[in-house]
Amino acid sequence: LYLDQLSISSKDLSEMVRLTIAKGCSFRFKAKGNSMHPFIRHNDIITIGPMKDFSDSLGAVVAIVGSNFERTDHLIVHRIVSICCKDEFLIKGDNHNHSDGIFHGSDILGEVINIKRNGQPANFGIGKERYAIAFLSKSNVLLPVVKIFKKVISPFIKGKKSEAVTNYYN
Amino acid sequence: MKSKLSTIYRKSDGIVAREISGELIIIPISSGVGDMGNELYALDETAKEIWARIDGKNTLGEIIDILEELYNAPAGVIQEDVMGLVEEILKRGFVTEAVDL
Repeated sequence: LYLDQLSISSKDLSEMVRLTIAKGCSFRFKAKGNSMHPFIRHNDIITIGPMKDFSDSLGAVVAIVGSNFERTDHLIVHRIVSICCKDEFLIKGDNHNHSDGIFHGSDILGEVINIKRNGQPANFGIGKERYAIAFLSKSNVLLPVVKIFKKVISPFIKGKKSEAVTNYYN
Repeated sequence: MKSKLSTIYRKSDGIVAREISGELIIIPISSGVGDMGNELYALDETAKEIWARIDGKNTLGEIIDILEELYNAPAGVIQEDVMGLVEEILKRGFVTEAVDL
């Protein structure tokens, strides 16, 4: 049986993630939606692992269970854009203008530790650059900055592009 | 390896199981990763009943007795189902032997 043969709800998926992380393991699945565009795209394969360090979690892309539109118990994979206090985190989709709200550490199932796009690593957005992305996303200027960045850098990307840049723009 | 009726099995730590759309879906954890892109395993109603009773306490013989009573099935039929399923899930590492009395 393969995933495509299953009608799996977001609630079931979040429970699978929770159960796997509780064993200290990681969980890999196909991302749906564009709320984290351009860093995570529809149909990217993402791996959620246990949260390593909450004190250094600014910019981390985390899995939480929250409400999305009318649906509750919905698995959301968005970015920590601000650490409010010791155990409270402001979470927001990179492609959203509004935040999801403040979540406690206990609400966070795990963090994205790997992204694959078309079979290739596409981890730009979860490395050290995540601090800047978090700041820009919180300020709601991330997408304009990405557009400008793309315009500026495009003329310099000719011939064989680096893997990271290729995946970033695909 | 043939299982004996006195064998007790428990569910392996190397799986994640969840009931989805009436089927029990088992995802093996391989190299520390549960992967929805890999093959998943679905247990039907009968297999679910067997699976539920593999708990580190019941022997296979006890599981067969319980299910024979539950389904009012002729002796042998349930045993064949139970032993068949156990061999299969044992081979895939979904259960491990707990105690052999």
